[in-house]
Amino acid sequence: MKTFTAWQYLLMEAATQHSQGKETFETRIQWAKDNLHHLESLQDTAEEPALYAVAVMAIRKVQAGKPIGTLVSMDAVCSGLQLMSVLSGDLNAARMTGLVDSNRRPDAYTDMTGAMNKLLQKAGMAHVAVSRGEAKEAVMTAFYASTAVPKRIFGEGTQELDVFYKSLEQEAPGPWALVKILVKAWNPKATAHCWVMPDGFEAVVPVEVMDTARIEVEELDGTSFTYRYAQVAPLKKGLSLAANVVHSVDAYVARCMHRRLNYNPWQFKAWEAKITETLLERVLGTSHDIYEESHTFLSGWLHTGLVDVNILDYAKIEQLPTDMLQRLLKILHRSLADFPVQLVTVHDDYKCHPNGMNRVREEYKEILGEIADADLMEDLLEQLGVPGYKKLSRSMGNIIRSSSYALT
Amino acid sequence: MRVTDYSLQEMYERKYSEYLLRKEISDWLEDAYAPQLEAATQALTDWLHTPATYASKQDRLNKVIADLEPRELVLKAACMVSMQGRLTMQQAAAQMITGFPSHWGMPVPDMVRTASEILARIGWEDLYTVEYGGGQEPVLISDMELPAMFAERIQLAGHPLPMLIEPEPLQSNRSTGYINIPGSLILGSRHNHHEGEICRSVLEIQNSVGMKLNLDFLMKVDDIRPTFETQEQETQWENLNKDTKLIARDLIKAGNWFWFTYRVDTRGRMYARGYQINPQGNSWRKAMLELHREQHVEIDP
Repeated sequence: MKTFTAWQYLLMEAATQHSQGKETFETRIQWAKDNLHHLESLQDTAEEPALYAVAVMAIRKVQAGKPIGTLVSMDAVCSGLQLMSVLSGDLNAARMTGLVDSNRRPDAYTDMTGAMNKLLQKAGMAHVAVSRGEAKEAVMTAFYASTAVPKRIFGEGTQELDVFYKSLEQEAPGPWALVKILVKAWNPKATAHCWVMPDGFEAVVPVEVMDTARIEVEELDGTSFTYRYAQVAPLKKGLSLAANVVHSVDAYVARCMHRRLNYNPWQFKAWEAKITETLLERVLGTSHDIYEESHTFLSGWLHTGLVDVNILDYAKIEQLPTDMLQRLLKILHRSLADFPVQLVTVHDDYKCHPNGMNRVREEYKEILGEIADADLMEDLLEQLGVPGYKKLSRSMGNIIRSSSYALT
Repeated sequence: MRVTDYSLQEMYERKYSEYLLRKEISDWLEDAYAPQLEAATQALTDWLHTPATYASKQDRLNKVIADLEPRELVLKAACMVSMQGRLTMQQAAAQMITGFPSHWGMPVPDMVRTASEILARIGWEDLYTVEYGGGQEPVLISDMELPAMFAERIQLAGHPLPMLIEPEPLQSNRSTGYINIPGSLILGSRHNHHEGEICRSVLEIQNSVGMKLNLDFLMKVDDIRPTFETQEQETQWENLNKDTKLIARDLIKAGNWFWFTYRVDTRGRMYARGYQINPQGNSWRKAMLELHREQHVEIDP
């Protein structure tokens, strides 16, 4: 992974908020350096004037030798598609969303637009050109199972709509198959869809159905009005599982990020020492791996191969399996190698002080790498009553770990 | 923790909490409109004990009459209408049924019907007027006048401010981090609440991040005024802009060091509380926030 200095992240922030967000990190830094002496004069042309202004103020403060509390921001490239590419093991979709190193700033929507226009050309429709804006809106919503938006953009029953769906299948076969499976996973008899994430979070999503009733009020001379209300009831068909499951995964990633970055050093050091001691005793044969599969806190690990440090809040270290302890030790080592980083997150948007951004980018990729190596989607679908899911590839973890543009 | 901050936090919770504001307004109404409240309570009591004109209505009222406290219902209705000035029967009934006990096991339309009848009956007294007829939905219009001291608070209530002390530990899914503001840590409708695992420790980590407002920025940069299609949109934008500045003023006066409190949705996504000042607000609102803990950044050679 390419790393940068805090100063470079600050320059990058100004460039991104001005107009350079689609450029490589190096180009953004160079843009800010080239304009460093007159950044204020570019205020009026900034795409995000408020965020640009605050970045420029921070740059001037740093130049004056003052400390700053300014937040710099990086967000996931097409978050939903990115996570679905990891969950389904789809290397091509991963490439489009920055998880494969390619020396360019990835942009899945541009790639999808290009793919669609090529297919249109092949189909003898070279005169029809799809814009990035159209493709973006259609792709974004299609991966959350919307059929209405693509229909609105490309027309119902048109060749353009067929080409759009073909391009999804061609460019992102894993995520697209996942959308279809998640739509089918809807339980028409359930009043709530429930699943548990590897760190124990219980997603309980009630099925709410909108209903109306005519209310007549005798005390108002029989005047009536219509009352609209939501009630929990089974629903024959629903599309929301695709978005809900993927959002539960981005929330899981965010929770791991907060735990591992804004950690308590004393707590982490104590855990590190205890785990090291336990592993050493097991190597020396003075103690043994004595975990019992029945422990509820092991469920996430046994089903998915994923674990996070919160398990140490409530489990006894000596009762945890060796391979899990080794994984936890790696997490603790990575965290302890750097200072704690305070994070402010909005789902897939990660903000921190510029001094912490290398750690944010590193750990985000690590967590996605862990998911790529694990069986998270298999487990989630099994919980939703769809067993037997097989992802396309299980060897993307290290590719993701060495990428640079997972967050941009 | 700074010595006086706990009491300051309590004061701000009182000032901006809708829950606490309702209590204060109820107390004030009990003094200022005592005769009207008394008359409405008596009228409602009489109405509840008068045989209904049709059997299904009587059956419905029989199920609930033991749980209905006329004085509480009158106060709740008076408080709601006086705070909002004007609201539709649908809005008013929706708020009234939130206080109805779940053990009634009554279908929602029947609860709304009962609430509407109660609201209509109270409206015969001198607290508010119910306008109806002409095919329009009934509207409740306040005849009460609240003193000016409540006006700003009503405008800002409902979205608790960031905290002036580090939020309290989250002991259950019904703790919020605030000292006196109750609620669920799971956002959205009441159906969403459960007592299962929601990884509160991560919410506590987020709650622990001290923030401040960037004063240089606030003095130099205002929110960009969008193009409005209606006068109502413009008024809404202006009110929100003004409210944001009022709250910013309060936060700065209190020392410009505060903490957001976070909640989750049913999937686990996390959201900071507060509306006017929030890290998930628009670009201007995002830009005004920074970490309280400042650090030096070294300039590359």
